[in-house]
Amino acid sequence: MKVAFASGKGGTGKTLFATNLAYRAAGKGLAAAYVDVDVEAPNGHLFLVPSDTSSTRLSVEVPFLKTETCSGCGECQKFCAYNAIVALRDTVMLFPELCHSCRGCMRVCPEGALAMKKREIGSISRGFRDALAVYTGTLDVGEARAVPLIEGVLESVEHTELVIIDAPPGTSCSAMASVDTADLVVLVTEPTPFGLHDLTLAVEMCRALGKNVSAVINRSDLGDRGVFEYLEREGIETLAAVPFDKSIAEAYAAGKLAYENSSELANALQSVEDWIIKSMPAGKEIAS
Amino acid sequence: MKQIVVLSGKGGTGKTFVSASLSAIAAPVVSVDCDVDAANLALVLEGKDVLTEDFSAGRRAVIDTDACTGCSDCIDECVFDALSLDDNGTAVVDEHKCDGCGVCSLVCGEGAVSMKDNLAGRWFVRRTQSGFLVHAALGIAQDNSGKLVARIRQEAVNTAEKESLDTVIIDGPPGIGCPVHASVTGADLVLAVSEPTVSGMHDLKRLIDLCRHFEIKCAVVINKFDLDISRSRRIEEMIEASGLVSFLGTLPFDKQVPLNMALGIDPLEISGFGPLMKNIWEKTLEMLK
Amino acid sequence: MGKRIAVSVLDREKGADAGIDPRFGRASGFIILDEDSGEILESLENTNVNAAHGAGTGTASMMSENKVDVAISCRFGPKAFQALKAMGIGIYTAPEGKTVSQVLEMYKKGELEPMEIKQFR
Repeated sequence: MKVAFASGKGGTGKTLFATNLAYRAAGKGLAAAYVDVDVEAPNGHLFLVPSDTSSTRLSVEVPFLKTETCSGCGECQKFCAYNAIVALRDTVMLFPELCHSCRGCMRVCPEGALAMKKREIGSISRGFRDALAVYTGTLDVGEARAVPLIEGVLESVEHTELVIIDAPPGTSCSAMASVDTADLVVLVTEPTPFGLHDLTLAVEMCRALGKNVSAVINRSDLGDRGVFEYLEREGIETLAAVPFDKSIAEAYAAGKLAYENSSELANALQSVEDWIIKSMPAGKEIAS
Repeated sequence: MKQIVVLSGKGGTGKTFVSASLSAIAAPVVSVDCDVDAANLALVLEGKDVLTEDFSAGRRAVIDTDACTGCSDCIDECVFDALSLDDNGTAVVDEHKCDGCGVCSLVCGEGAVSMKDNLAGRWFVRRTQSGFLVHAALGIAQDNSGKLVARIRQEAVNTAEKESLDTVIIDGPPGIGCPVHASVTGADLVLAVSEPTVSGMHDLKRLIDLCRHFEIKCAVVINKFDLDISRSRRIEEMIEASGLVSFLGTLPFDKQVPLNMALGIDPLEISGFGPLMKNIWEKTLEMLK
Repeated sequence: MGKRIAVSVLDREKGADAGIDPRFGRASGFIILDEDSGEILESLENTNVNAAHGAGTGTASMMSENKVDVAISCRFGPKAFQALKAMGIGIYTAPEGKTVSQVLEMYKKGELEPMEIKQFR
């Protein structure tokens, strides 16, 4: 079962919920993995502090000139939708950071002069915090495209009972790629007009993907009723509403898992976990 | 003309709060909301949109269902997994996954695939109390390549020139990827909003690396500093030791800020913030000399 | 015939009086002049303005296709710079606010800076 924690707006508490839920579930005996695909700014590992980590580099394919037979015809340049290849007199100049790996240039070359080679864009690391497997994707600084890395991280997760995906904020292609393979999506929001505005975009994205969605309202006492009313109108189940709690904020600030300090958070996590278990294929039980 | 871009790495540190406040202090200015994925500055700087434009980016494949024979060559060659056969045995495009590369159109032996311009979003120019705001809305699942960000940055410069304004304040997107690159390129200064949390420090470091990569001046504000005063001091020390980055000041944590901002309360009226923001602005101007 | 000099412009309609467009990759257009006579040889629309990425490389390709010898703008991005260098096209920066004819004069008098790697913004 794959559960993604997403939001429209940044800073609503996705990582707070995802890390705490994953660690708590693993502690109860569920075979679980936490996967951080906010590859531009991964933070989960700061709270879970995994040990025994190993890391691999992720590559994408980009073209290179394999022969001396370039005629400077420019067909590759004409085809490339991304301006990643520039024709010179008798050779080509490649801008691999612009390449989307479509292989079109290779196909159109009349000399068969282009082939594909690997180019590294980021890292996937795997470690453990007690019983929880922790995966982290980190995009190299300066790299343009996160989606191939996000897909790579998700593919690298070894089969397990519960996968918690910590998605990046927003609704663009990175967020979509993070949520695409999930069975369930939990939207973490805040009850402010900004939160509501961005929540409606996130709901639209989830619906476009046909996802089963629920919501958690964080800092639920700091705002207005807009988000509550919206969720009710849309028939989206609100699993929990967690009021602002300085002890959670302080634990978060210090890089600690907060659920042991806050019964509100622990209860909220239990509600989310109940929803997940309810949605799992029949016959699954876990120790309480 | 001076262009200042407000960034943070992670979301939720207070970029929009700082951008809105500086826009109010430095008014009249042209503000730009470059978080086109989830534009929040536009919710704070109210006014009338005087210009609205469609924005197209890239292409999408279109299947001529009459010409398609269902041979599946396009499906085999699509690296984005955007093509499949429907119940009629005709190829169908998943518009969210299609990247517009054109390979399907190339390999189709029947000429059944063509590429059309993709309507990706819209952008707007708004007249506000602090001058002008250029903002945009990117469609769901669209490639946030930074092209829309580049477009509205250009519009902001055009507007500033037309209205004889000399300052552009850019509310940047979260992360450090393409949309951030597009919001940073050609700017004079990055104002990094950090927070004294482990996450905040981690992302500040990545942001500083980005500024180094782009060879652009960077100055830091520590927001919500009193959530962890000793960590806040450590950030200050880190900045001072780096020799590359300047320290502009701190702002206290006020849990009512997000709601007050969204309710339209002038950010400078929120108690205590006015003088602090003015101080930050003055130091920013010093750096730009 | 002298070298073919391309200058990025804001409004091609204004010909030699057109103001220089400070960007290269996303310049709205280019005017190509003969260095010696100052005659306008071409007026090009820049379709790369609409590119998501690689406006710089696309525009560099446009220079090559139009057999430009020297490209002049106020700013060049790193990819445009690399591509133009590889093509053997001269790269010069001019101050903002000048017209095409003023820029050409400055170039001929040797008053323009040839661009070096460290000047990226």
